[in-house]
Order: sequence, then C-alpha cells, then structure tokens
Amino acid sequence: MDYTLLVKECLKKKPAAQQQLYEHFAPAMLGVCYRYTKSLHDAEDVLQEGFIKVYLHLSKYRATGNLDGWIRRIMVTTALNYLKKNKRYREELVFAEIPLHPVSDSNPIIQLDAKELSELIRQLPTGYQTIFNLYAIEGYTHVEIGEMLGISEGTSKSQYSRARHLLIEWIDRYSSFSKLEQYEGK
Amino acid sequence: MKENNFEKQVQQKMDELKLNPSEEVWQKVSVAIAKGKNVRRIFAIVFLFLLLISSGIFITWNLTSGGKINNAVLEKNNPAKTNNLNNQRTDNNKQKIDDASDIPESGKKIKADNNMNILKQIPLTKKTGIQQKTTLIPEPSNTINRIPAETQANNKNFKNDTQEKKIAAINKTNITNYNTRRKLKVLISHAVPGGSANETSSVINDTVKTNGAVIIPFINDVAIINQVTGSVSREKIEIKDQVKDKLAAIPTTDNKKAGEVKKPMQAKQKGEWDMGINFSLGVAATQNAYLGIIGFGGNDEFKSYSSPAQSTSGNSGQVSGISFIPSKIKTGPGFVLGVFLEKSISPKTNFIVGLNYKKYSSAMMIGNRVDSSNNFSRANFFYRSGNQRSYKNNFHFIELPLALRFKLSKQNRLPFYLNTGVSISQLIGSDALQFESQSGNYYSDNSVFNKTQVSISAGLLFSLSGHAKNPILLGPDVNFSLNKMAKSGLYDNRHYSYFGIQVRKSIGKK
Repeated sequence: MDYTLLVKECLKKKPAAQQQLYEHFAPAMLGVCYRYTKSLHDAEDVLQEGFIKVYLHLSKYRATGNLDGWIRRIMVTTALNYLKKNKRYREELVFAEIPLHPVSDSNPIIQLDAKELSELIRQLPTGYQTIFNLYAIEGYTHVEIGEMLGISEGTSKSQYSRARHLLIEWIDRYSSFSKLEQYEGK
Repeated sequence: MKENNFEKQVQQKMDELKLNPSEEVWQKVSVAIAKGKNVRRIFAIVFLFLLLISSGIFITWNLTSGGKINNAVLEKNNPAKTNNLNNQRTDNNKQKIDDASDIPESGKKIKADNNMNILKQIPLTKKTGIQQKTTLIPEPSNTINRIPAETQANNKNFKNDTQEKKIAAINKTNITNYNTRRKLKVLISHAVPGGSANETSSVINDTVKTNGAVIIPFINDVAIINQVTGSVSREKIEIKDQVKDKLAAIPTTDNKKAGEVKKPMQAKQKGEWDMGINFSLGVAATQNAYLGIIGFGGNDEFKSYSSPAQSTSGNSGQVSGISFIPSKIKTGPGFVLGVFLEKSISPKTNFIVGLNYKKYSSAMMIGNRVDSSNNFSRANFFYRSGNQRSYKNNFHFIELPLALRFKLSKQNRLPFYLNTGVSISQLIGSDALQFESQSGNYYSDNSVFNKTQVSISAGLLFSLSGHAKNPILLGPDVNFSLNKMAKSGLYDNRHYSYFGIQVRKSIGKK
C-alpha cells in the first residue's frame, strides 16, 4: 500500500488524514506495545506516546521506506523508554549476568493462536520478555540489543536463551492442555 | 526442522496480533498533536497567569511596605480661619496649621508634625500673580499636613520672583523625592499502572504444581524449578481455564465490543462530575485603579478629597475650607472556602463550577469613635480621623466561580495544573468605613458599594499525592475584580484583589 499521499496530508496537519493513519496502524501497533508491557493500559500509554512521536517526526520519514516498519521502530523505542521510566518495570528490568544456558534445539510447531502466544510471552519476566521481543520478533541482533538496553552482548544472549527455553516449555505444556481438552471433549 | 523455525513462527504469529485501542487513546493523541495550534492560546494563558502572579507579589509587597498617610488637611480659600483650626481640632493633636507668621523666609517653610512628607499643593491666588502649581504628594506618613495656601498667598512675601523660585525649588525637591521613591517602589514591585500486573500475572500466577514441576511466581518473575514431566493433572486444567478467561478479555479486532473491557478507564472520561472542596488563605487588598499599576502615578486619596473648599462651617465638627485625606488603606487577610463540581472535557482539561464564601479585609488607621448623630448627619456614629486605632474593613461575598483547569505536566510526571477562570460574586455584607473629606470623619455606608463583582482568577496547583485518584492539590491563587468596588467615595476607582495559597481536594469517586 502506498502511504505517500496519506503522509503528505498528515504533514499538512489535516485531522482527517491523521486519524486515518492512526486507525490504519493502531491495532497492529497496539499488538507490538502489548508484547512489551504487562497490561493493556500500559500498552495504550505506550501507543499514545508512540503515535504522538510519529506525528511530531513524520517529516523525517522518507517515502521510500516502509512506513509500517518506521512506525514499529518508534513504538519499540517508545516501549523501551516506557519500561525504563516506569518504576514498576524498571525494577524488574534487571539483567543479571547468568551463565549461558545451552540453547535448546527444540523447535516446536506452534499451534497457539496469536493471542495465546502473546499472552505467554507477556508472562515471561520483564527482562526475558524484552529481549525475546527484540531478538525473536523485531529481529535486532544481540549487539544492537546490548546497546539499546545497556547490557553486554553475552548477557543478551544468555537472557534470550533462557527466555526461549522457558517459552518453548510453556508452549508445550499449553498445547498439551489443549490436547487434553480435546480428548475430554471440552 | 531448521534452527530458526521457532523464531519465524513466533514472528508470523505476532504479526497477526491486532488489538483495538480504546477511543481515549486517539483523543489524547489528537489533543497532543493539536497542541501546536494552540501555542498562542497557551502563551496568552501563561502571560495572564504571570501578570496575575506579578500582581500578587505587588499586593504582598504592599503588605510589608508602604507608609501611612493620615488625616492630612489642605486649606485653600479661608485664611481667616486658619488660626482657629488648631483649637477646633484639638482632639487630634497631630493636626496643626501654621499661619503666615509661622512661615519664615517668605513663606517657604511649611511645618509638619514629623517634619516629613509635606503635602505639596500650594494653590496661590491670582492676586499674588503666582501661577498655581500642581505638585505631587510624596509618600504618605503618619504626619498630618495642612497647608495654609491662601494665607501664604496673602502674605506679601510671596510676591517677588525670588520667593516664587524658592517655592518652586521646594516643590521640585519634593517631586524629585517622590519620583525617586516611586521609581524605587516600581523597581521593587516589578522586581499504574495497574491492573496489568494482575492481568498478567494471574494467568500463570499461582504456583503451579505438577508432577515434578513447579512454576513459582516471584512477584512477576517465574522460575522453572523442575522439568515438566508426567501427566497433566486437574489443577493444570484449572490454570488453563484461567488463561483462557484472560485471553478472552483481550480486546482483539475480532472479539472486542465497545465498552466491554475499558469500563474502569471510562469512569475517568467525559460526562461525570466530581465534587470537591477548596480552601484558600491569603492576602486581600483594595487597590487603586488596576492593581495600582494603571494610574499609579497619582495618589488617589489625595486626588479624591482635595475638593474645593466650603465657605460655610457646619455644626458637625466640619471645618470649612478644609479637605481631609483618609488614612492609607492597607492589605489585610482574606480567605475563600467553598465546594466545586468538576468535569473532564478533554484529557487534559477540566471544567469547574463552584460556590464559595469569601472574606476579604483591609486595615486603616482611624481616630476616636463618636456615638452621636448630632455631630454628623451621615450616620449614627462615626470615627474621627486620626491614628488612635486600627480599623479592619471586612467584605463578605458569595461567589460563583467558573474555571478551566489545564494539566501542564506530562503523563508520568508529578502532575501540576493551571487554573484560570472568571467568577461572579455578590457582596453580602461589609462593615467597611467611608470617608467624608470635609469633616474628616469615617462612617459606615454600604449603599455606595457595587454589590456584584466580576473577577478573573488564576492559580497553579501541584499534586501533593502524586497520581492518586483524588489528589490533594496545592498552589498559589490570584483573584482580581474587574469592577470598581464602589460607585463613589473612598473606594471609588478601587478594585478587590487577592493573593493566596489554595488547597483543593476532590471527594467524588473516580
């Protein structure tokens, strides 16, 4: 989809265009914000701050780029800032130096839907959750993650390894619940 | 299976995740991005606020400084009576008048009780050939000054040019002194997050015991102690149900119904009135003109009461041909107590309407009380001019304030607000004294007051309890009336002003 015209209209501060842009991207971006936070309310706070930044800096967006990706990066950065600023998250966002956990070879087929999977990701400790989101979903490297969070590359790797291991385990268990339910005819 | 299949699957699944934000988010965003358009309005509000704060400082400064002017008398046209004045006004030992013989050096010297602050309007008759000079009144003091101008005028010593120059020199000196003091005075005066945690943690919040596996939540952290082994128990199924319930509550594009999940948040939104109480304690003043800034150069007391002389002598202690000047009206304490209703009209703006009782007061020096209507026709009792006692003028109002409260702080910082608004108040009672310049008497007469007053107000409010639902708000508060206090008399061309510290507390549910 070509957003060039929409962006131009937004740059002219036309409210209708601004709302259209918001309505188009807000659901997906709230999904992004939701993964980084522990509550929907917090996710909406992040979304709000993120969209304000989007409109403020829209002139910096280059039409050749992917608007979706550009907005997503803003949301991720905003979410990270939110975690650092918010006391409740900041206290949990501790990245202890832990021995590198052996990377699991397990690659289960995920039979959960998006909602279920996102809910499990959000159950991870905040540190694990953040690094898992950044590495597995956003595609940042451990070096980049280290820079973003102020930790070493090794810490990022070990934290991710733990997170991945934990999540796979939960997915397995959750899937087994579902199978049991099916078996019992629920 | 390839190594990164897991990540790819997760990515794909997460790309599908779409949640509908509540309407409140867009409202907040739209307000925030519209801010740029409202910059001028904000500047205007801030300017108004700063102006009012400055006036508050000015009033406060007046409270701590400022001299007194009491009972100065100006004689104009009746030199014959000047010698009798001291006898007539013996009750006020500060009032003296010097006749022509008391003025050595061609009538240049004018005596005053405390040899300071001499009134400087010396009207010279045409007969003397000396042009009348308009001079300014210096800072008021405790002194009573009377100027036997006519006497001076009749004195032949005034006839020559040298004398005129000397008088001019005196006037110039006094003007200079006054201007210096005025400049100094002007210079100085200008001088949550919540829900979340439960929402999240409760999904797999309880300790989940399995055969050999326990997930222990440490606050929000979860640690796996043992590996999952064995069969699935009934407990697990219960947990599974809890997870399902939580998942169902997530408003996705598929299942979200308007207002289904966001009810707690909507309680804070538009449409609901919250009640609260407010109290303010501060300093009230009755300022000349507009805060004493516009028209500051003159001294109202003097201007208003240096009326033309009367040729007749009354029976009420009045002295013909003499104009008295009332004592300086000083600031006094004031307070406001009331209730208000508050309604959110946008994410950062609240509309407030209230009902207040407010009391302002001012102080002045007066003389002895005389309880006889025979001596004075305006009232059954009156007070002589003088410095014998301090009198407190009280003004009681019922006020209906209408205000807007703007949240100035950002989302997660300590909230503070700007209050601006107008109010209509009704004077319901007063014991303030009026002044009659001919007799120098103070008396009570409320009929001259403008009973209805329209005021503008501004205030800053800081939350003392952070982001609490019903925080206690505290901050400076300024109020200034646009109407004149009275139609005529002592308070003509004066306005009520008030500077205080207010406390507000909402007591409604949020």
